[in-house]
Amino acid sequence: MASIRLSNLTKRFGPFTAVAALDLLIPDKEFVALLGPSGCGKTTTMNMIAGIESVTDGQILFDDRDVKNLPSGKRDVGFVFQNYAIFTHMTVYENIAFGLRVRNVARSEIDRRVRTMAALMRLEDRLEWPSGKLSVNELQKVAIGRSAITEPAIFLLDEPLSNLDAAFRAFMRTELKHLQHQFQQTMVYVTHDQIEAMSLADRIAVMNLGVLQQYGTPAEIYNRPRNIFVANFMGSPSMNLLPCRLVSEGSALRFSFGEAGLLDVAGDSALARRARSAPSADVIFGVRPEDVEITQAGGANALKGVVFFVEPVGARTVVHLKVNGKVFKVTKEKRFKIAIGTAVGLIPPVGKCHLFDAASGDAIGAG
Amino acid sequence: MTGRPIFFVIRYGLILLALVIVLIPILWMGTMAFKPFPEWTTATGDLTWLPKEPTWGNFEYIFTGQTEDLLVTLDRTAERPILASLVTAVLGTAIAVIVGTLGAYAVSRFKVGNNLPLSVLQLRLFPPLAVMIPVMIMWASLGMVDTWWGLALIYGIVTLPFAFWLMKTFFDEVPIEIEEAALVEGCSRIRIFLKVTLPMVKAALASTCLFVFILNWSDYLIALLLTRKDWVTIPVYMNSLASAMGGQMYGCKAALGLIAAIPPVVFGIAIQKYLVRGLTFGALKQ
Repeated sequence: MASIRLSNLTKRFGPFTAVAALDLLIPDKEFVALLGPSGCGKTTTMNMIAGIESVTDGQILFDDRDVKNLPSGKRDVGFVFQNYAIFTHMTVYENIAFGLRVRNVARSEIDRRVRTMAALMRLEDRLEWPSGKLSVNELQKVAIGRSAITEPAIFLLDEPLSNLDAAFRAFMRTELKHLQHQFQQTMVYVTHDQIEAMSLADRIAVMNLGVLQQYGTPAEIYNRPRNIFVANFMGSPSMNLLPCRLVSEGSALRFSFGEAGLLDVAGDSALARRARSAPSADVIFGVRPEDVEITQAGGANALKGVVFFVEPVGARTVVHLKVNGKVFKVTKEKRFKIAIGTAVGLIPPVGKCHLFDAASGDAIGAG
Repeated sequence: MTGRPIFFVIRYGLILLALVIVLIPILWMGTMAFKPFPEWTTATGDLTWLPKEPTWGNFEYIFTGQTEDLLVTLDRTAERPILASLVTAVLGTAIAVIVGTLGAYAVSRFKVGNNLPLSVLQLRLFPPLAVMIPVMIMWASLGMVDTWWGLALIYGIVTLPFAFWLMKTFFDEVPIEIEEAALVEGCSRIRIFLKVTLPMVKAALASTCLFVFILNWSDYLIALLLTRKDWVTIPVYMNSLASAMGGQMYGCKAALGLIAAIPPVVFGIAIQKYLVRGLTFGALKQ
């Protein structure tokens, strides 16, 4: 088993920087998700850990061993590809046995381990099948089985569930978690799906444009986003972000949203204390859709909004409003009813608000 | 729209027409091969589809040099040209496919040879004759004219571009992740090529072999320029099946043509499974 330490890891393709000076410590036996939109450098990072991609600059340490110049086959990693990369000219058995055969493991030992793995993956009755005939779901299981059979210290998964149908994806999420508990491996998981990352990972590294945005537990990432990108990327629907101006009103602090109204908060509140450390009076005010209260229009300390769309999504109802001409979303319980066109007041609870500097996008005073 | 009867008629009418255009000459050759001399010359002015008196005479003539119908005897029989064609076409195909496959793999996978793919085509940018005359001079000075290795080598060279380009296209379609997966498992490069990639493109490889083989097998120009006597191939030999007295010996040519059709047809049937299946690498859902 092994920890992974990336330090100053950089990858450039010609003039394009895919990964910029990435520092990341993935502790032994942890499940870490690399999360970000496509093109953010997460797969490139993964490929460098696996040794498929060369490193432009920086270090990759497994425990304290620099593996940068070690060929991929000697790194003791398992890799599951998004498109499965199954050897279609081989049977399921041959696919799963592949890594052991390359390592010249004895035939009887191979047979025993392949059958154990097949039982674990529920592929026993598929062993003699040509792998080209399997369903997508089964292919994914073969791919995981093939990588897991050599019991690598580090298990790398590149969007392994993104091609599966929704029901099977949920099933595989639990299976993967089980697998990790069973083998006690260090797992790195690349995904652009925040729900996958939130539900599976011990820690999430959010990346964008080759730069690490935030690294922390799912709760930290969700509750204390370090910048606008993370705030916007995590959560569905994502955080409401409104530009506003800070004005001092005696002992109180006023958030001015132009035509949408004002919010006054007590000067000694935590929010006000944070706001005072803002580098400029122009800030971005953020609040999660589930935290906002909807009240009658015209109330004090409420933002003016007009309902323009109501979206029932099963367990919840998402109310879409226009605030200052911008879309603002509030999630309510599923029985919530409101007419389109209704003018309402929106109350963001002071304790659950986020502030970001308008210029840099960084969170203000976030702990 | 395609359900309307008129489209059905037009569609199958066109298919039938295409078949007729392709098959009638072959059928004509097939029947002609079994016609005795009076039936395949225009001298009697009476041409029929099927031989009135089927005979093996044409085959007998090209293999033994004589037959009762014909007064002229043949100074060279067909065994030697058939052997020459087989040896040179098979070897030439082997050279082109082996070199082409290895080259294509290198270019497809290792980002080497930036201009190689196009420069390989250079040979094909000139009219064949413009290339073949210098080649003839080179081969003559190297003592390779009218040798099996000389002819096989030039066959390998001129069909290399086809083998290279076909295989490159196929290798490009094998997802790189397949090889990376093997690499992560600790497979060596050569083992990946032999055990993973090559088996995945075996259908393509078979099709390439057939394609290149047919090119080599049916070559006339190169064999005409680079052989004299010992290693004359079937197409060149066929041209010699004429006499001052009897003119073009169509019956004998048809018989030889029928024999010449056997190897590609047998080869084609043997790999039909791959040809039909084509290039379904499967299992990849992008």
